[in-house]
Amino acid sequence: MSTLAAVYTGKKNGARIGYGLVALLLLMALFGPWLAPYDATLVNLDERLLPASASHWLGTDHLGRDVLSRLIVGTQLSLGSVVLVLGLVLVLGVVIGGIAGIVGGKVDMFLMRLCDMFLTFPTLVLAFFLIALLGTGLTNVIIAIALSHWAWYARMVRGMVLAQRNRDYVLASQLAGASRLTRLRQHVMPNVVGQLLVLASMDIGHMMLHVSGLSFLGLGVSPPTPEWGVMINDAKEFIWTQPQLLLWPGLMIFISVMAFNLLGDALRDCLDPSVLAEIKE
Amino acid sequence: MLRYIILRLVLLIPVLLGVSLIVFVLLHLGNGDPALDYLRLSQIPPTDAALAEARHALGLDRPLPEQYLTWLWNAVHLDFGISYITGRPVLDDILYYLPATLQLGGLALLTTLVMSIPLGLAAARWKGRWPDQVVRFITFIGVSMPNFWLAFLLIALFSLWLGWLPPMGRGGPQHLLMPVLAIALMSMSINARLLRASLLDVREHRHVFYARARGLNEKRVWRDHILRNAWMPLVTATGMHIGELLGGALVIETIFAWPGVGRFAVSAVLNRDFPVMQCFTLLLTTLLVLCNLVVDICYAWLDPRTRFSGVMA
Repeated sequence: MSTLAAVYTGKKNGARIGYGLVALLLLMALFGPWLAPYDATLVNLDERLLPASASHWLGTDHLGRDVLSRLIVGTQLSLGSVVLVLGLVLVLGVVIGGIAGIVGGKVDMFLMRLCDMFLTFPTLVLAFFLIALLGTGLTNVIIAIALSHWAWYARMVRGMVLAQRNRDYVLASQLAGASRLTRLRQHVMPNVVGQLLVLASMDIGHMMLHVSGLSFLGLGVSPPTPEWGVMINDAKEFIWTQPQLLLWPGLMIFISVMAFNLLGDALRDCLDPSVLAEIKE
Repeated sequence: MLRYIILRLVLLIPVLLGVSLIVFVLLHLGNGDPALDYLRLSQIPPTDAALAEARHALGLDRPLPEQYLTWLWNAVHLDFGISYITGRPVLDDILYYLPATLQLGGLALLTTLVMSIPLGLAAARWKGRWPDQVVRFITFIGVSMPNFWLAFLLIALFSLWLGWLPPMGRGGPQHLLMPVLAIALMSMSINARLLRASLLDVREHRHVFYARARGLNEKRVWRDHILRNAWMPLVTATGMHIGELLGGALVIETIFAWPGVGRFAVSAVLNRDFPVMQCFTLLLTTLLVLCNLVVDICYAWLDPRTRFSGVMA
């Protein structure tokens, strides 16, 4: 515990651990099926609920499936869904915020009121409503969480575009006769996207908690597929006899969120403080 | 002030109308057939005849605008229809479960404030020293911990191994301890971090320097000059956390078998119980808009500068 605290308070080490853990998670996500010692969905009723042993390092679950394999293979879906959410949120944020910032006027006002409407609701509750409307399933969970997060990004992109629009180099290119689209593509957006990615990295952990929370409630992935949230949901009936089944998938979520938070903090420190002040306006 | 509050309450009406319309349209245009869901939940085999009869009984065979107006007319009279699952009036069901959720959410909010303020203060007061390090460690764990996993860890520790606390149900204070902690930890950590950052920011302001120069003692400088100006972000964040705490309650109630409205709503969504979802949406919207109003009033009360501009406009 004390070493962890020391690591976190020393910013440099925190960043290093964050990068390392994220790299490890990405490897597990990409090569999961090859790294796993067993087939993650293979049911073996003779080997139900085994404790940890040399052949099954973390034991087996209620259907005799190898827990370690399920954790490793599950990385892909747990991380992948967050990446998809992030991608959707960024696209929505850049497109809607960009349009609002560039076109301005009535369009801007309409889009910003739309954002306000979405921002009234807390993200998890809004995502929950949207799933009620769309129906359950992983795709719908991803869409719902993306739709509940985009408004904040749209507002930030709009703010950044407005701030960039009157910079000298953009005005210079306008004098040189560049069209609105060229100015946007070549001068405004490259500056916005970098800042946006840094800000998004601070939010990944939060998104991950939402995705896993909803899939824990059974609204996401359906059972045989390995995913950390669902694994906890599966294991909750065995809390009295096999509490370790709940420990591992939760620990994976915890570690991942922690890794992304460390990464986000490290990247934020690289970001120019004036940019942060600008966005807050 | 009173005029402002009344105005905000009047503005709630168009918001609720808008939300109810959107939810209604999306629920009926979305995939799935309410009549089919109704038959499934009533355990009637979905033959064509039964389907047609259910459609007629539920009013689904009429045009959508008429359905909405009928629903709205009934809703204004506080009749939100009959739950497909329980077969009882929706509002009765929700009002039956609501107090338990309000108790849980209210206590979680209280815990958030009571714990985050001393933690944030200690961290800022002794920045870089051990209290700061401890607080930063706790809050870092707090923002990374999935609340449902924390709930299970607490059950494993306090119910399974130590046997001190009951793992589920509603009863005395011992039933509240674990769910409240599981819901509150995240908001508590965010608030403590925010207060720390805000205090450190205000500490550098000119007026604090001036207060010290006037020879005020350290206690008064902190109380009257730093703290009073550092509250604001905390008030905003607390307003947002009310919603997050409700979201947390959705998840946590199912774990502790807490007889609250969150658990009821989760089962309504899983079973596509339309009338319940619709009523729940409106109830939650009302609750959130009212919370935002309270936050804005607190703002005006705490910071005289916003009283006649900004928030009030």
